[in-house]
Amino acid sequence: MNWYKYASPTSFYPLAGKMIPWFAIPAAILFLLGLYQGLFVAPTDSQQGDAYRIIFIHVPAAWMGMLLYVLMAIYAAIGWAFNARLSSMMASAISITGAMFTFLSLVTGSLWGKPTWGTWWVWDARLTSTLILLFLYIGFISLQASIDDPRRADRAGAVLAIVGVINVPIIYFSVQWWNTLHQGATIRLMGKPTMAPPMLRAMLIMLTACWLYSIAVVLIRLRYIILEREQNAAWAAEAAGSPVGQPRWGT
Amino acid sequence: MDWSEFFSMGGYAFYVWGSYLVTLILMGGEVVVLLRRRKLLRHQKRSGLETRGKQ
Amino acid sequence: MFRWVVVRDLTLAWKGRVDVLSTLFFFVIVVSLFPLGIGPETHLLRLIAPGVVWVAALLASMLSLGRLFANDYQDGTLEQLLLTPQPLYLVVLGKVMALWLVSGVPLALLSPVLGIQFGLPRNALFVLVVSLLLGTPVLALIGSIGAALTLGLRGGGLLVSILVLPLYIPVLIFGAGAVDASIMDSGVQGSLSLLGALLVLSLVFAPWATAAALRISLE
Repeated sequence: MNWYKYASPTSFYPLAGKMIPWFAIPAAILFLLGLYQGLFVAPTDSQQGDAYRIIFIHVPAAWMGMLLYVLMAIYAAIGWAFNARLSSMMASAISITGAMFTFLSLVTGSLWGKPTWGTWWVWDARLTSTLILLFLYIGFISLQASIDDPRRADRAGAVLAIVGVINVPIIYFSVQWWNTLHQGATIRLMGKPTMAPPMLRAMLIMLTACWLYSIAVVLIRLRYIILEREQNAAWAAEAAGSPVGQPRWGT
Repeated sequence: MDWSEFFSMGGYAFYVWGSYLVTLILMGGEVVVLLRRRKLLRHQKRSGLETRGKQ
Repeated sequence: MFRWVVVRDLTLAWKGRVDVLSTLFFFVIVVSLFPLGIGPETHLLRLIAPGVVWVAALLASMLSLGRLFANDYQDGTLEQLLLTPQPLYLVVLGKVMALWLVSGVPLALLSPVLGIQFGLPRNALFVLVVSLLLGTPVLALIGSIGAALTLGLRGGGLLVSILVLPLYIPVLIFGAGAVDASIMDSGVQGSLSLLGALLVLSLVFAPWATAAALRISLE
């Protein structure tokens, strides 16, 4: 099987279409399963009561935000180094989903914080680092949105993403340092409850569901990016203008 | 299964259900925006407009 | 070549010295806004002084970036510079150094005056100057990446800010942290060493990234 042929956006488009249901449907199933596990099966926590159940979405969202940023930087770097357009398009496709998850983790973190330690926001190391990560995403997305030439946007994004990814450990370290400096005795504010097996199970299911969801959504977005950028090709015009009602993933 | 107890989430109903609602809105919203993008693309193709390559 | 670039940029800066001075005035004005917004209570001002002066330095550095490449880009000099056989890394380093000499150093030297307005003790004032002298080159180096990436784009200064300010955060933390530490009288060396480490890292990597970004923006 000649894998290289899939490096071209034109060939990858139908493959992506076929792949989407294989990720979207299991994602939906796992979400339902995870919600069931997390909201019904897992026991109430002794310290945080039922409020802790927010972590079943907060923690996976935070993880996805971080993982997707790294993935985005890798795809952008490959796209730049090998002049592979599809790889760069993938980075752009990932950026929005990554930003969404990061924002979600901030909101859920805030909703978790209010009942457990009394305030809507706390400048602890993890929340603050997550906020900065959101800024990094916004920078990448804004930069690409401001550049009209797609190839310049791809490459500029790659430089920014690589600089960002190198800075992430530095930023994380400096925020940790800043936090301990200003807090004296380290109070574990975002302490997770000790995880009983049903809780861990729910967490893992939700995390997997988020992964599958991300792949599905990113592939969908990637296809639209391909269509928008390859519009001169006749096949793209046909695929986009397909008059048959709902989009069919297989085409 | 005591449903009223389930819905109240030990008094934290606003926070827990709020979180899951926001999740639904954001993830669902992402999918909705993507579907609308498809419609927009199709509309632009029909009226012969050029689109610019964006996210 | 390096020396030529530095001298040329310094000469140009002298010719346009109004611009340079306005960066300094901006710095002073922003710092003065905080007591006006928060209240003149001396104890409080002393507490917020390191952070306030440093944030103002960040913002002023960011504004000065507009002068780094924009003028040369508009009159075509930048493209010429790209074509020279000299490594672009050196050209970038030269321009950044000139920018720093003209914007960063005066800012650092002016800071004790502002520190006094906030009631900082003498040793803290000294650390403030040192931290800014170490930190402003880092800000210029990191900022140059943002300036190069956004050459000729309509977003302008605002876009550069969005890109560059998150990357400035470690510099802010260690810089203001050093001054804080000198007030508490502990850990100054740690913070300053961390700042120094950032300076070394950015001296090595940033001009390379900026050079790559320039090529990308100019093709």
